[in-house]
Amino acid sequence: MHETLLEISLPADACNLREIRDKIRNATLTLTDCVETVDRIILAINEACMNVIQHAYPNDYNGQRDIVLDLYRDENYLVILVKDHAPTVDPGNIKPRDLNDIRPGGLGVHFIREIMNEVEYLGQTGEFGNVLMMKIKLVNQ
Amino acid sequence: MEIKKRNESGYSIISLVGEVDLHFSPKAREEILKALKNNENVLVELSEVSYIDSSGIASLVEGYQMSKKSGQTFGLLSVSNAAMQVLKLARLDSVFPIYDNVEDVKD
Repeated sequence: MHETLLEISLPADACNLREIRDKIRNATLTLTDCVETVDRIILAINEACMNVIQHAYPNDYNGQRDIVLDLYRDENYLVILVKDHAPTVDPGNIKPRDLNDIRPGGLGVHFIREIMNEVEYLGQTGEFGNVLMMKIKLVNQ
Repeated sequence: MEIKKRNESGYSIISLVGEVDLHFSPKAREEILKALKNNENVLVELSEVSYIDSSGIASLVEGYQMSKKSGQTFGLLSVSNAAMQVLKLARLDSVFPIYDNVEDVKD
């Protein structure tokens, strides 16, 4: 079973994050009766989009500067694809920071890995420079 | 997001209201660091924060670190459930001084 929940494309700009979060909430509300799980899903996807906005597109990049987001349900999993048209990033450079090292920044990757059951950087895929795939198992309480 | 500021019991209380995300956290950071540079003892009130991401948390960490260097008071006040969930996820709930009320603050 592959049920599409959301397909959106927006300019990679921080001013669009709220719209992205609202659309994710609307798309995922019926998947679980656990509000906290929905909040965590929204946080993880927001962090992935933030990484695209802050790090993927170089300042002098002149091409299509956007974020493409696909959410679908595959059996008991919510699958999220965060795609961009930025130059392909070396996945080895994407690391969470040591949480004992108290400093600003570096928490986004930790949030994503803590919340999601599976996280995989697919690199260049078709027209996209980077594709991040995240999966979270849906459990009703 | 909205930022309100008031003085209470000798502390500058900076209240963040709404969704503290990458779009608005630079304003929160600016307000927090400005107060600390002005030698104020700062409490950041989070009771009306409905959402905070890693950029908002980073602004709080920066304020905390600056206060440690300067010996000023810095803490979080009346943390909402939404903000607390994210602080716990970052394992920072045991790092920041967190108070329910201004009267509970220990210098």
